[in-house]
Amino acid sequence: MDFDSNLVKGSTAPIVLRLLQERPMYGYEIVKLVNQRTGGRLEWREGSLYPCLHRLEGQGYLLSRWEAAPSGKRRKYYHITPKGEAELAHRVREWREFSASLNVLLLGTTGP
Amino acid sequence: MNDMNELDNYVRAVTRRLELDPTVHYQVAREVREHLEDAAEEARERGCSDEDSVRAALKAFGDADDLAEQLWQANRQRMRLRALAIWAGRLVLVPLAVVAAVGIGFTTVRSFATALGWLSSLDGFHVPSWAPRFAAEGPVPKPGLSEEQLRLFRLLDEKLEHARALVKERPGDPLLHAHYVRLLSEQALGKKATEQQRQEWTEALARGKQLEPDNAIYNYLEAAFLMERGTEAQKDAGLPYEVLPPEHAVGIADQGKQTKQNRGVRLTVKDPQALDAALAQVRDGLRKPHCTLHVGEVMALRASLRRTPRTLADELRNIAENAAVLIPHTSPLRSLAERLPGAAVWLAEQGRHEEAVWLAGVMARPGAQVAADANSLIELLVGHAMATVAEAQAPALYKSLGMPERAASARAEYERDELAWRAARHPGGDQDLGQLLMQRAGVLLCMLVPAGTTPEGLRPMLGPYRTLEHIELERLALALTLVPLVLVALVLAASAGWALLRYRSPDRSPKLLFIGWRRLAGVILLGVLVPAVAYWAWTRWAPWNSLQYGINYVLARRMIEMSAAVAAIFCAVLALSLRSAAKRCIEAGIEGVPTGVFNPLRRPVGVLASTCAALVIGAFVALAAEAGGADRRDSIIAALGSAALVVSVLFMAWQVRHASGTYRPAREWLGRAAVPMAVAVGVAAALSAAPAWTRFLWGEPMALALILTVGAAAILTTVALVERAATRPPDEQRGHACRAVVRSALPVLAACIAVLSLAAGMWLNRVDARYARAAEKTSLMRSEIDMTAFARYQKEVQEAVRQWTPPPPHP
Repeated sequence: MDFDSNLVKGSTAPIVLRLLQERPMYGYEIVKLVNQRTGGRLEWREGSLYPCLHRLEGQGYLLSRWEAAPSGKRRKYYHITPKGEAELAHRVREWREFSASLNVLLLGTTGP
Repeated sequence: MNDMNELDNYVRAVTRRLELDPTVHYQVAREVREHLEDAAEEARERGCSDEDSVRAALKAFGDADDLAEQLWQANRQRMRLRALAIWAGRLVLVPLAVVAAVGIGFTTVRSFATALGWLSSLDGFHVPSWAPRFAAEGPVPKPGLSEEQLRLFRLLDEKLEHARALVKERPGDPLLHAHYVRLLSEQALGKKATEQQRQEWTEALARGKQLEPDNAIYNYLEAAFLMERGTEAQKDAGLPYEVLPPEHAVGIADQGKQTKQNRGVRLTVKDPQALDAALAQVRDGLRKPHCTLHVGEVMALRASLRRTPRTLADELRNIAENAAVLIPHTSPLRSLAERLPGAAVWLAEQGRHEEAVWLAGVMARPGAQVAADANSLIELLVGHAMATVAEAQAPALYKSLGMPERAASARAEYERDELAWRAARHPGGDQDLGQLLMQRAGVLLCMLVPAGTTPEGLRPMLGPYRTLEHIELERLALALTLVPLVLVALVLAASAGWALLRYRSPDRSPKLLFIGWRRLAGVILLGVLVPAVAYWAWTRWAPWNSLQYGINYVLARRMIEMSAAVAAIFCAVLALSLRSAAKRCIEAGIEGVPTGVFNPLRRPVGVLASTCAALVIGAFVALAAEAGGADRRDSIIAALGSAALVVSVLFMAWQVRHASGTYRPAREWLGRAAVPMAVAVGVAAALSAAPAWTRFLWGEPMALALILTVGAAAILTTVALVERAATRPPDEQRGHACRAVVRSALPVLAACIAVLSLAAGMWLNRVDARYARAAEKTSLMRSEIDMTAFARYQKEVQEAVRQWTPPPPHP
C-alpha cells in the first residue's frame, strides 16, 4: 500500500530520531532498518532521508562523525544528542495524542 | 564504466547547489555516493546486472532535481554560518595575528635599538649603524598638558634656537635664562665663535646678573670668558706644586703620606684689561650666596612635562638626556679654575703683591660654591676639582710671596679637603656593595652606579632596573617565539594557496574545516596559556626565582628558562593545531590523513637530523660564549640551552614539511641538487662542531671519534632524507588529506599567534611601565648624590661656604 507522501514526510524525523536512539547509524543502515521493520510498506524515497538528517544535525538533535564501519569502510555515523532525545520524547507524546484524537474521529474508538 | 559515469553525474546533479561551500559539498557528495554504491552492491548481490543495479539504486534514491533543492534547503543555514566564519577569520583573525606578531617583533627591535642609541650618547659605546634608524621616537609629552605647557615641552630641549625663543617669550624667567646661557656657552666659548655670538653671550650674562643678583654663576662664566680672551695658559715646570698622588698609586691606607709634583699654569697676558675685568667679576661673584645654572630644576621641569617612562628604553633616553644637560657649562668653569692660580703668579710678577695674596686666598672659593649648590654628581665633581686645583697651588704661591705660615695652613686645608673627598669615594661596607652589585644590580645599574654609592642608597634602585632588564630579555624571547611561528604559518599558507590554485576541482581542492570552539580553546589553553603561566610561575613565584638576580649574574639560567618556554610554546602550538586539524579531517571523512606524524618516536630520522644541526649550533654558541668571556660552565649551559631550542624547532619544522605532503617540483629539485649540497654541509658542519663539543665535554682525545660519528650520522641522515623524498611514489589521497590538514590548521595557528602576541605583549607592556615608573622616581639627578657618601661631603662644603668670611677686597 502506498502511503500519502505528506504523511511519510512528516513522520521521517521522529522515525530517524527513534532509530538513532537505539544506536548510532549511517544513512543506508537507517533505510535498510526501516524497510526491514516495516516489511517494505513504508516506501521511502531513500534520498529524502539525507535532507532530514542534515536538518536535524543543523538543529542540534544529531551529531555526525566519520567512523570505520564493521566492513572497514568509513561511514558517516549519526549520533542522537540529549537535545534530540528530548525532541523525540516530545514528538512521541504529540503522536500519541494526535493518533488518539484521529482514532476517535475516524474509527470511533479511543484505543488503537 | 558507463554505470559509474551515470552515478557520478547523478551525485553531481544532486549536490551541484552545494558547490559554493567545497567542504559541505565534499561531505554530502561522499555520503550520497557511499549510499548509492552500497545500494548498487546489494542489488548486484541479489543477481542484478551492473547496469540494472545502478539504475535501481538511483531510482530508489529519488528525483535528482527535487533532492538537490531539498539538500540545499537543509544545508543552507549551515553553509551561511560557515561562510560567515571563514570570512570573519580571513578578515579579522589572520591580519590580526600577522599585525600583532609583526608589531611585537618591530617593538622589540626598536626598543633595543632605542636603548642602544641612547646608551651611545652616554659615551664610549659602539652602536651598530642600523640602531638610530629604528630609534626615531623622541620624548613624548605627558597627556593633558595645556597649549602653553606643550609649547614649553617642545622647546625645552638641547637646541639653542629653541632656548632663544623661550627666553624671548618669557624674559623674566631665571630658570629658562640659565638654560639659554648653558646652551649658548658651547657656541660662544668655542674657538670659531664670531663677534656676534660673543656679543650675544655677553648680553645674556649681563641679563642673567640682572635677573639673579644673588647668583655668582654669571660672574664666573664672564670671568672665564674674559680670561680666555685676554690670556694664554701653559703648563710650566718652573711653577711646581705638590699634590697627593692618586689613591691607586699609593693605596688607600697610605694616602697623605706621599706627595707628587705637578706643573703650575703660567699665563701669557695679551690683554691686561681683560684680565683685570675677569678678576673684578670673580670678586663680585665671591660676595654672592648662590652659584648655580639651575640644571637640576631644568631637568625636573622637563621630567614634569614628559610622559612617565614606559620602557627601559624610555628611561635610558631620560638618563642620556640628563647627562647631556650637565656637560656644557662645566668646561668654562674648569678653565677659570685652572687660570686663577696663573693670574695670581702674574700679579706677583707684576709687583701687585697685595692683589696676588688676595687672589691666592680666594681662588678656591668659586669651586666650593659650585660644589655646595651642585644638583648632580658631575657638578659636585667639577666643583671639587675646581677647588682642589686652586687649593693645591696655594702653598707654593704663598711661599713665593714670602708667607711660609700661610703656606703651611693652606697645605693643611688642601689635604683635609682632598682626604674628605677620597673618604666619600670609599664609604665603607664595600663588600656588601660589591655583592649587591654583582648579584642583584643587573648590567645597567652596574654601569650607572657612581663611586661612593652606599648599599642603602643603591637598594631602592635595584628592583626596578633589574626587572626592566629581565623584561627586555623576555620581549626578545617573545619575538623569538612569534617570528618562527609566523614564518611557519606563512610557509603553510603559501603551500595551501599553491594547492588551492593547483587543485581546483571540488573533489580535490584542499578543504578548510573548522576544528570547533571547544578544541580551539583547548589548543590555546594547552599550547599558549599553560606554558606561559608555567614560565611565569617559575620565574616569579618560585622561591629560587631568577628575577631576584641581575641578568649578568643569571644569564645562563635565564637562557635555559626562556629557551624552554620558547620551545614549549612553539612545539605545543604547532603540534596541537596540526593534530586537532588532522582529527577534524578524519571526522569529516577525509581519507589518508597521516597519523602519529607528531610523535617523535615514529620519526627517528627527523630527530637525528635535528640533533645533528643542534650539535653544530650548540658548539658555535659555546665557542661564542667562551670568546665573549663566559666561563666553561656558562658556555656549556648556553650551548645546551640553544641546542635544545634548535632540536625542537628543527624537528617541528621537519614534521610540518612532512605533514604538508611532498610536491613534485620540490622533489625534482631535491633529486638533482640537494644530495651533493647536503653531504657537503653535513661534513662541514660535523667537522666544525665536533671538536668544540668534545673539547668542552671530554677533552681532545675524544674529538676524532666524535667527528667520525657525527659526520657519518649527518651524511647518512641527509642522504636518507633526500633519497626518501625523491623516491617515494606520489600518494594522491594522502596528499589531499595533508593539504586539508594544513589548510584547516592555519586559522588555529593564527588564533594562537594572536592570543600569544596580544596577551604576552600587553602583559609585558604593563609590567614594563610599572617598573619604568619606579625607575624614574629613583633616578632623578639629585638622587645621584643622595645615594652616595658624597652627600655628606657636600654638606661639609655647604657648611664651609656658609661660614666663609671673605678677605678684605684688594684696592
